[in-house]
Amino acid sequence: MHQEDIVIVTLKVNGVERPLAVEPRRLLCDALREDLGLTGTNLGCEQGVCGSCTVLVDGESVRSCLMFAVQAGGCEITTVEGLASGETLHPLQAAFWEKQALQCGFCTPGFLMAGVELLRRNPEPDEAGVRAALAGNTCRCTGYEHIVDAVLAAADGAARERTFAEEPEVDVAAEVVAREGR
Amino acid sequence: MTIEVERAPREAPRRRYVGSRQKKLKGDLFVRGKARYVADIELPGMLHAAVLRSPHAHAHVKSVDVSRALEISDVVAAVSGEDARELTGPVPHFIDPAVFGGKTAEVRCLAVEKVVYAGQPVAAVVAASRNDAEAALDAIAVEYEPLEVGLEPAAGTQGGTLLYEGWEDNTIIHIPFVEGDVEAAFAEAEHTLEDEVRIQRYTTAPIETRGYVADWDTSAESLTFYGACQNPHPLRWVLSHALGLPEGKIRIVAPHVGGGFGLKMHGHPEEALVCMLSRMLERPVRWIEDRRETFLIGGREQTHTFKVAFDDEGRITGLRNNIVANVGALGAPPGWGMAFLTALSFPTGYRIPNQDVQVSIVATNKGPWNASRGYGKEATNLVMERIVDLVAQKLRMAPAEVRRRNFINKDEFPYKTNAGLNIDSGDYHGALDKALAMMGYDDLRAEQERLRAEGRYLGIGLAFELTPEGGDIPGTLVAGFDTTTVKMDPQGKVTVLTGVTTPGGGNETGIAQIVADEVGVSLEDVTVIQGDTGLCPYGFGNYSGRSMLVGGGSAALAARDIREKLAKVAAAMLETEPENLEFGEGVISRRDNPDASLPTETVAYSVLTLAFATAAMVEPTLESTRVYKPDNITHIPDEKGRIQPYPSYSSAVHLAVVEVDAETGVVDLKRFGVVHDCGTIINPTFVEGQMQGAVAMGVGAALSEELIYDDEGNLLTDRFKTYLMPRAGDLPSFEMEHQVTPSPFTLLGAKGAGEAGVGGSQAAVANAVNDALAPLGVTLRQMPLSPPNVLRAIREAAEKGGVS
Amino acid sequence: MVELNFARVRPEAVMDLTRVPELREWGTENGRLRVGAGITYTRVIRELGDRLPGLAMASRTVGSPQIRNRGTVGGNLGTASPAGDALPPLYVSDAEVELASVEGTRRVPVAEFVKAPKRTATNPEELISAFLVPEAGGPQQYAKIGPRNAMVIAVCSLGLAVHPERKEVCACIGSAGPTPIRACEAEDFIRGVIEEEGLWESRGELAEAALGRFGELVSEAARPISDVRGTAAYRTHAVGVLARRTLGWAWNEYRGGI
Repeated sequence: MHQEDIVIVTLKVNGVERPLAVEPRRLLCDALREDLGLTGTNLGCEQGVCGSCTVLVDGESVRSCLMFAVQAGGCEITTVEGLASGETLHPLQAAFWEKQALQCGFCTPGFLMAGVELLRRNPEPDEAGVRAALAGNTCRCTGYEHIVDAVLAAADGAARERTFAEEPEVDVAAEVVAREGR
Repeated sequence: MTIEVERAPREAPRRRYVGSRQKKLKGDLFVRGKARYVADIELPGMLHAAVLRSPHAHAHVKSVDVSRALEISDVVAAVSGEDARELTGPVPHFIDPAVFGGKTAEVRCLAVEKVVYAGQPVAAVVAASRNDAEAALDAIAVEYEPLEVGLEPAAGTQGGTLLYEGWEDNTIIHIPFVEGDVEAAFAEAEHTLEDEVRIQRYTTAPIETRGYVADWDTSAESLTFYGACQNPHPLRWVLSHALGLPEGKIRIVAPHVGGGFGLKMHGHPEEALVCMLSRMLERPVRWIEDRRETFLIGGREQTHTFKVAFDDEGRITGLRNNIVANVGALGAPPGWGMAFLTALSFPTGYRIPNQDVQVSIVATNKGPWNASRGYGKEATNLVMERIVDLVAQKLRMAPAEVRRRNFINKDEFPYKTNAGLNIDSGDYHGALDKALAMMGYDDLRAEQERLRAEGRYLGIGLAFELTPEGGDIPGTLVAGFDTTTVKMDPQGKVTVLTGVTTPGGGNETGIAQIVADEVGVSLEDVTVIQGDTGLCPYGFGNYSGRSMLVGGGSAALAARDIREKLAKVAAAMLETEPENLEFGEGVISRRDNPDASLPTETVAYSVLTLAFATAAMVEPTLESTRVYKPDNITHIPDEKGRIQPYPSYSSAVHLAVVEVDAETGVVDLKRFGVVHDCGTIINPTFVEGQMQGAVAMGVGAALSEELIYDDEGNLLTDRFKTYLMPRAGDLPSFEMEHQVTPSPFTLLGAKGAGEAGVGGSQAAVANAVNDALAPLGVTLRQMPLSPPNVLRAIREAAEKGGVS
Repeated sequence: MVELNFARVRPEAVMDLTRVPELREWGTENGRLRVGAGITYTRVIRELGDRLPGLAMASRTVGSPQIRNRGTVGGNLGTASPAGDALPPLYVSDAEVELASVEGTRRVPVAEFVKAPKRTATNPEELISAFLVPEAGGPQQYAKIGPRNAMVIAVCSLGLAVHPERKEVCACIGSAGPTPIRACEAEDFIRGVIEEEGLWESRGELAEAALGRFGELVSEAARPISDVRGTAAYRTHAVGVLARRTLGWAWNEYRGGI
C-alpha cells in the first residue's frame, strides 16, 4: 500500500469527531470496528443482506458493509454504542432486554438501529408496520416475536411519555407495504 | 399465556426464581454492543488467515505451489496440504461411524492428494490483514485432475463414483430398526398406502459465522484457542489429537457465541488449521469465516419412501420406511449421525406395533453435514406427521382424530418405543386438545369451507412433535451428563462454573435462577461462567437441548451442598437445628422464630473465619463440584439389543394456517400456534423465545430454505440473497401455550428445551399446504414448498385428473 | 460493493457520486419529470409516490429500509439486471435515460439503454445523470413473486401502466429474460379489445377472457432461464398470472375514475 492511497477523513461518530487515515476501499464497518474499536456493529454476511451491520448515517439506517468510510466523511454516524446516555439505556435498548428480544445478541445492534429509525419516522407503528420496517434485518434465534414486542413496547412507552409533553413532528408516513396488491 | 402444572414437581425447594420470567443475565452488554464475539478479539501481533478451497467437487490434487503467494509483501506464510500433514495429525471424528460398525475416512485440515467436495480447504495463507490474506489466495497454483462427480446417492447405494479408497461403495452405514411382525401387519391390513417425502438440503446459518483465534505461547509451549464453538472440552480433546499436544497445554475459550444450532459443534478443518498456523508462526492467528463458506456446511437431505398399514378406525398397524440420507462428504463434525437419529426416533409418539425402518447413510460429493437443530429428529416428525395426515385423508377422517387414536396414552408412560427409547412422560391428547382450542379449530374449518366456496385455498395443518433430548452416545464425547462447580465467597456472592455453554439461548440465566433458589441469594448475586476450559469443570457444552437439564441439574446438586453447609453453620449460630431454617433472599432465619435471622453473608464469612470455633463441624470451603446424570439413560442393551440414549422427551403440538395462491404456488402463512411441553419450566420467556426461533427455522425449512448445487457440485445458494430465511414480515405473530408434564427421571422435572420446534412447525406447514390443495388432489412430496415446487405439484395433479 | 467485499473485482478506482448535488435533484422539464440518478428509493417513495406510482410501488419492494436509503434508480439502471425492480415501471412509461460526459449529454430510450444483463449503452466516459419520464396519466401497478415477502430478488415481476391519454396499456416483464421485456403483442391485443368495446369512454368492465388472453400473451413474450430462484416454466406461467391480475387491478382503478 502506498502512502498516496491513504485518505484522511473525519467521521462524527456518536457525537465525537474522529479523524481517520484510511485506504479508500476501507469499508465503513471495518473502520468503525477496527480503526475506532467500536465492535458493537457486527458483520453477519458482508453481502448487504443480513442487516447486522446497520448504523445510522445522518439519521438514516444504512448497511455499513456496503459503504466506504470515505463516503461517510463529515456525516453524523450513530452506532449501537451511541444509543445509551451513560448508564441510562435508550428506551429501545431497555425494551429489548426486558422483552428478551435477543438471544445470541449478534444481530441485536442492527435491529436496534433499524428500530430507532422506524420510531423516529413513525412513533406509533402497528405490528405490521414494525415487521415491514425490520425486513432488512435477519435474526435466527428469536423468530422475531419478542423483537416486534420490544419495538411496540418502546413505542408505547414513548407515547405514554408524550401525553405529558407536546406531540412530536411526524416527518413521514410509515412505509408499510408488505406485498403489492394483496 | 397459561401455564398449567399437572403434577407437582418431586423436589420442592422454595422457588422464587425457578419458573419466573427473569431477564437475561448481563443482557445490557448485548444491547449496548459490548458483548465480545470472536471477531472482536484483537491480540498483539495478530495475523489473519484465509483458506483456499477446491473449485472441484471430486478431484486428485496433483500439486500445490504456494511460492508466488509467499513473494507478496504482506504475506507471512502459505501452506499446502502436504505442509500441513507434516505439522498436524488427522482431525478425530466427533462421532466416528466405525464405532457403530460403519465406514470411516481420515479427515485432515487441508486436503492431501484428493478433494471430495467443492469448497474443501486445500491451502491457507497468513498475512497482516484479512484482505491481504484473501487477495494472496489467487497466487496459489493448484493442479487438479477432476474425477467423476456423484451428487446423489446411487441407486441401491452401490456403484457410482467411489469417494474413498478402500470403500466398496459410498454407503457409510446402513441401520435397520425392525420390531414386531411387519409382514403380517401388511398382510392383514384393512388399508395400506405408500408415498414419499423428499427433504431438501438446508442448513442452520447462525448470523455469526464461525471464527477462531489461536494464540500459541512459545515460552509455555501452550495454546489458547478462542472460538465460536459449542463444546469447548471435547474440542480440546480434538485439538490435542490433531496437534499432538497434551490437553493440559490447551485452553479453549468460547466468548459470546452468535448462535450455534449445531453448526458450531466441532470437527471443522479450520479449527486445527488455525492452531497449526499459530504454532508454526509463534504469533496469534485469526480466521473469520465468510458467509459463503458457512453455507458449505449442509444438513438434513433425506428421502423417505414409506408404506403404511392401517385399519378402518384409523389405527396404524404397520410402517415400512426406507430412508436414504445424502450426508455429503464424510467430515469430522457429528453431522452424519443425524440420519441415524432420524431412523431411531420412529414412530415418535404413536403406538405402531410393527415397523421396519431402515436408513442408508450415503456419502456424496456435496459438502459435509454438521449437526443442525433437531439433529435428524425433525425429519422423523415431518415424515410421521405426513403419514398420519395421509392416513386421515385416505379414510376421510379428521386429522386430529387419527392422532388421538394412535397417540400413546398419558397413563402408559414411561413408554418403550420400537427402537427401545423410553419416553418419560407426556399428555399428547391433552396437548392436542389445548392446541385445537387455542386456535379455534372448528371455526377455522368453517372459514375454510366458506373460502373454498369462493375458490380460495385455506389450509389447516396439525403436527405433533416428539423430541428426544439430552442424549448420550456411548463411546463418544456426546455425553448425557454434565458438571458444575458452585462457589460462595465470604460476602455471600455466588459464582457458578459450568461445563454447559450457551450459544445464546440463555441457559446461564436459568442456571442462575436455580442456584439462587437453592442457596437463597438474590439473582443479581449469582455470576455464571461458561465456555472456558481453563476455569470450568470438564463438560460437554451445548447440544441436544441438554444445557438446562444437566447444567441446571448439576448446578442444583452443587448448590445444595453449599446450602447444607450454610445450614449447619447457621443452625449453630442461631442455636437451632438445620431443619428449622428458612433460606430467604440473602437471609437465613429460624422457622419457629423468623426474627432470629442472619444475613447469608455473615454465615458464609463465618464458615471461613470461625473454622476452629462455631463452624468447626464443616470442612471450611464453600465450593462444590457435582455431576448430574439423569435417570433413564441405559447403554446396557436390553433383550433385543436396544439401548436407551435419551433421558427426556419433550413434546409439542403445532398448528399452521396457510392460504395458498393456487395460480402462483405462493404460500402465505396466516397463523401459527404451538402448545409445548418441556416438563418443569425454569424461565417461560426463554422457553418461548427458543420455541419461536425454532418455529421460524421450521417455517423457513418448509417454505423457502434450500442449498442448491449445480451439476458439477458447486453450491449455488451461497448468500442470504439466494438462501432465503424468513424475515419478520414473512411470519405471523405466534400463538403459544405451555403444558407441563414433569419428567419423573430428571432432577427438576425439566425436559430438554430449545432443540424442538423445527420438525413440528415444518410438518404443520406442510400439512397445511397439502390440506389447502386437497380439493385439487395435490400431494406435495418435495420440500421446500417454494412457489415453483407447489405449482409443479398442482400441475401434476391436474394432469392426473384431480382428486384421486 | 458485494463483489468488492469478496474480492471478485479489484477496480483501480471507484467514484463516489452520492455527494453530487445535481444528481440528487428532480423537477419538471417540458411536461416530463427529470429525476436525478442519485435519488434514493426512499425519496422516490416519499416525494414522487403520487406522480410515479408504479415506480414507487417497485421501490417499496426493493430490499429493505437500509437499501432504500442508499440505493438509487440510477444504480438499478447502471446494473441493468433483468431483476432490477425499477426497470419495468420505467419501460412501461417509455422513460429516457440521460447520459452525461464532458462532451455533453444525450438521452436514450430505456429499452435501448439496457442491452443485456449487466450491459448498457453507456460509454466508458459517460455517467447516468438522470431519467426522464412522464407523470402517470392513469393507474400503474407493479407486482412480483418471491418465495418470501421481504428482501427478495424477484422470481419474476411485472410492471403495468394504463395510459388513458394515449389510449394504451403497457406491460413489461422483469426477471424473465435477459433484459426487461415489453409484452408488445399483449399490449396490442388489449388495446384492440378496449377500443373495440369503447371501454376508454364507457369505463366498462374488461372481460375475464380478455384478461386471461392478455396474461397468455405476456407469458408468450417471456424468455426466462432456470436458476436457483425458479424454473423457466414457472416464470413463464407466473408472469402471465401477474399480468392478468395487475391489469385487472389497474383497470378497476381506472373504472373507479382514479
